[in-house]
Amino acid sequence: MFDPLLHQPVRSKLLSLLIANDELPFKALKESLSVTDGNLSSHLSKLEKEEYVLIEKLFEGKRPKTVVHITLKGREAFALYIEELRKFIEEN
Amino acid sequence: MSEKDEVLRQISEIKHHLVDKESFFPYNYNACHVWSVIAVVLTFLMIPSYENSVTFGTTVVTSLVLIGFVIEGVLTKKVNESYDIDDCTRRQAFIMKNFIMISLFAIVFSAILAMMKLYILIFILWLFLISLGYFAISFVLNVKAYEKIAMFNVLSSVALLSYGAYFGLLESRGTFLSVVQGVVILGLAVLPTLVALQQQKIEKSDKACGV
Repeated sequence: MFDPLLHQPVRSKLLSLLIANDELPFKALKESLSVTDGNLSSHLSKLEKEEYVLIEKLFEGKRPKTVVHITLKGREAFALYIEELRKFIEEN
Repeated sequence: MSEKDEVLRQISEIKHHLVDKESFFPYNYNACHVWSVIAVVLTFLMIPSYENSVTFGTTVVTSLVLIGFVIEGVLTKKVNESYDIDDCTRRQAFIMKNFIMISLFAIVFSAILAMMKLYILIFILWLFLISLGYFAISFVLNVKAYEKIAMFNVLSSVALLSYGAYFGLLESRGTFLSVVQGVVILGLAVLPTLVALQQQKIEKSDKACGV
């Protein structure tokens, strides 16, 4: 019934943060969500596969940096998910 | 947990991130402590400095405010680096610009008031203007306590101004001046420090709980 990709606590929090900030560095997401690197990477790959987020890997001098952006598809899917949650509460 | 409970929990989590916290905002509350110290030092140094000469007084005030901005900048840069954020976020820039504009206006206006030896008005002016900054902070950081401080300071400045004007005390160097200085220290140093300490405590416990 709900989008299985979004109906999961970490991923829904992750998208909420990205919607409020447009983009966030991997490190900031990790701190905000209190998850491990591996855990976050796994959630991000799932979202990236569905094109809900865009992961940009860049270098700052010699230091690698990963920035996560939310895509239009991700925003639309999240809006739809919120609508589904609202409908469910109304009907139950 | 029933499906309905689960959905309600999801909604509450999303609301928490989208509405309550609004967005990710790293902030180093030690900057608040620095500003509190500067406020106390300025409260005691302002009159002797302006009495030496208005130029000297203005230099002292400007230098202390500049020191505050430099320290705040360094602390912000440090906290941002720990999150891989370059420069500063839009909200951090908003707060900084807000306070820079307030300070510039207050420094110029204070110099004019110092020429007329209206020192009490200088304190009231700073109390009022900095409070406008606190309103902005309370909105950006979503910390209601800063709004309460701002309200307290605005009301205090209006009350002190009215009382001083009504009783002809605005040029006083006696008890009324000490009362005004006391309110400034309370409103711009003690209360913000207490709020910052509280916020640091919340941040620590949030981290410990993994929120």
